[in-house]
Amino acid sequence: MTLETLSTPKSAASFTQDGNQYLTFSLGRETYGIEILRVQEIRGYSPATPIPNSPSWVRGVMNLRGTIVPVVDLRAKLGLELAQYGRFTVIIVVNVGTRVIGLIVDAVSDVLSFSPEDVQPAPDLGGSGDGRFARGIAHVQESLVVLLDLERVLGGAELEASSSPAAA
Amino acid sequence: MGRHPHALPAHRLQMTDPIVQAFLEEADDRLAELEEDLLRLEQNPAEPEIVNRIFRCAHTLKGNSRMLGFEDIARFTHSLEDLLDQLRKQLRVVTPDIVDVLLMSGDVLKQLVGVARGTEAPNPDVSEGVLHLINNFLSGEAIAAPAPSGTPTSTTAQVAPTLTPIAQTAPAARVQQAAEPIAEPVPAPSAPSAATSPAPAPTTEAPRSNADADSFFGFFEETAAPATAPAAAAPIAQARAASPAAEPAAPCSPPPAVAALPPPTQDAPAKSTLTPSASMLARAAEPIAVPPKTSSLPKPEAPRAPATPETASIRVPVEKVDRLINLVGELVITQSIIAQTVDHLTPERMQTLQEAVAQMDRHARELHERMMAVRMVPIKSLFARFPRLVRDLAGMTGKQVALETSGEDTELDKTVSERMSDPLTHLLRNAVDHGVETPDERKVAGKNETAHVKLKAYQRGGNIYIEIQDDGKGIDKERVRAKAVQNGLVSADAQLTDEQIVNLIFKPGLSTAAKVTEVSGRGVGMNVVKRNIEALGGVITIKTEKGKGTLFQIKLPLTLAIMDGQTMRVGEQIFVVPLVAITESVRPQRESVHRPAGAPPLVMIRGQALPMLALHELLGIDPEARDPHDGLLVVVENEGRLAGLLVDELLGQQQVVVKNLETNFKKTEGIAGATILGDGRVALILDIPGVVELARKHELVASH
Repeated sequence: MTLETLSTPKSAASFTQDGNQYLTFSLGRETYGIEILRVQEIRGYSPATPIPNSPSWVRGVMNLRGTIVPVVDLRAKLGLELAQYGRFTVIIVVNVGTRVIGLIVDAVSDVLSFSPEDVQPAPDLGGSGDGRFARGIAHVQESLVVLLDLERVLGGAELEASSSPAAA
Repeated sequence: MGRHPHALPAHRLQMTDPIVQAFLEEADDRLAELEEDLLRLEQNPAEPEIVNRIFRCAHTLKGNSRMLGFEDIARFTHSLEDLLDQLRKQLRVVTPDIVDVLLMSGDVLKQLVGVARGTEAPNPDVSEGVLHLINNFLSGEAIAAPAPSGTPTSTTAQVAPTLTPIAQTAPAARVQQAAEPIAEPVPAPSAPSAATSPAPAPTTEAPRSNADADSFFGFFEETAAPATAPAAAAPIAQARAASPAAEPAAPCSPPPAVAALPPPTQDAPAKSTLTPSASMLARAAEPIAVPPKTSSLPKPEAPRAPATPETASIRVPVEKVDRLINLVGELVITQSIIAQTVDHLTPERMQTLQEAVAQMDRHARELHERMMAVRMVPIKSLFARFPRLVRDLAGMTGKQVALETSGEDTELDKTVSERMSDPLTHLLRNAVDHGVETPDERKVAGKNETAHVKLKAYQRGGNIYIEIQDDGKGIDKERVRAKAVQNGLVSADAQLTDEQIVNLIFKPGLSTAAKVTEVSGRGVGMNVVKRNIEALGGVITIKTEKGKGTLFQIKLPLTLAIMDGQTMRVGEQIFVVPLVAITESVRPQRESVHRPAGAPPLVMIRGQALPMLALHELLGIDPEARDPHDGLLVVVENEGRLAGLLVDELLGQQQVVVKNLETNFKKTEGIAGATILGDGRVALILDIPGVVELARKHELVASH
């Protein structure tokens, strides 16, 4: 299932080792990447059932073939400006620890491979809010891909601590 | 669960080894069979086939345990086997004493198996004590004649010195036993009555207090069946010695204060003296009771409960699995038919497609049903532990009780079955302890001296019913009412129906009160029983008739995974409320809604003021009906209190499959779980106690 779903965004990028492959997606003008091995599947966006009294970035829960999966708006989670959900909006279903979580992103872009040399540590700029969620920055020709650390973005404490996104 | 690495056999076979696992599971089964057979043997002492079966059982256990290096078990079963061999060869006649020792041996073996599993601490003193008893039998000459009445006392005389020191070396265990919420009040009220009251039947009361004191002591605390050894030891000494046993009981009674208490002349003073000592014990017990090990501690009121309360594996008959496999095969075939038809879909093939889809639908439903059935186990496994419980309790209380079970083949969800163990144990204990009268009392009342307690299970519709019926004296409504008034649960002039009065025994305030146990006969931990049953989505009802007996009827859902729910809409969201929680739904009148200052909004329904919980406010939803009388009020019951949930619309009742929210998300207050509706959408299941709590917090915030 995983491979089938992912075969669409395949690109010219060379496939070397799975461990270095990233699924990239866009949020606004920026491109982000997550390790491909974490990705379970990609689904079109459909509204989730809201959960009362939960953090605002949790959009609710959806039915993934009988499993109840929480859906997180990644823009909201990373502190970005919110966007309308459109026909490119997708939900990337990822595994974080033992949990299965859906991430709402603007659009899926590509599957890219980065060798460790391509990845720079994330500059600690403070301020911007999402700096601490990055595990590194990768260069692709002229553009940058922010590689997210899913544990930090969605780690246990993040989902368990009720409403404070700052509790990392 | 306390782990005891030293309990593992020397040659490093790990607990996790499948062979060890299989051995332990089989040992559990064998020991359960052993006990059943022993109880049968007691009824038919001359039946050689039963003895043979018991012998074979011990023999297998010995062989297997030796093979796997569980030397303690092997050594114990070896001696046991010697004794059984004498019985088998008819060198010795089966006497009640031998059955007692054999039953004790079964308990020791259960404990040793628990040690092997790593869930129990070894307690060599106890096993050595029983071993000693066995050896006494073996070393004594084989008596072919039935033992005269003097013999039992001498047997117990041997028991006493062996076992009492153990009790004294285990003060911590004693307190742990006291920590049991249900059992804790029992010894307190009964001990003084035995020691001091000039009750009409001191002989019957006294052994009970002694036995209670023993289980209170908990010297068998580490065994799987704490009450059984005292059960066997105490009644022989006291009941058969036929003399009031207050004095032998006294040295065993743990709180010295209890024995020294003044005679309970009136309810009130007795309560005031008893309650502190009980609560003191409870308090003292707390720090000790906290360690996780307590969870594996057998409860005194559940002497037959297995050491591991919920086993992780299910034994499924091969036939069930085969049918599942067949069905899945069918499903795959239908799926491929559909796939092919869709690939070359022409208007003519529409018919084929429709048929295939209909078939797939049937298969899917059946698969779902059968899959659920895998979790269903016959209630036999639960009922099997009760004959022993009733036997021991009857012995302790000096009553003659026959337990009749029926409907053992009724199937029940495994989890439900396991969680029913404690409530049923408690109800049966109550039935024997308080429900039925002593043989003398029964004779006076013109009843058969042997009381009958019936335990029955059956399925009706989507529910399982379990009934516990005794033919005892029934619940004394006047006393329950008087007690409730005294405790401030109801006002003295309250108009109560009989049903309401009887149901008062489920109130926590009433059941923990020590005295009510004595007077009305019912109440210890009944609120816990009710809570446990309600936690399973069940309902318990009582029918009682003075002088005729009491019937407890428990209605349980077939499975925990499926629930009868009422779907309702608030704004655009759909919620499910468990049907059992709902009493009625009404459209509130404008004038019946009150918003007093400093209190939650109230709604009057037939003269009763209920708090009104506006779900849209609590759950942060944009509703259709802001004005209560535009919406509907769903009246729900929570812990005996009613509350009204304000919703926009009722949608319908349906069975919903309960899904857990915590697996991938987290526990959310007010939400019990989620379910998937017919259209694939997720609907949340409301947790009524949680919603009430949410409302309380909401109110707190609003009022500050």
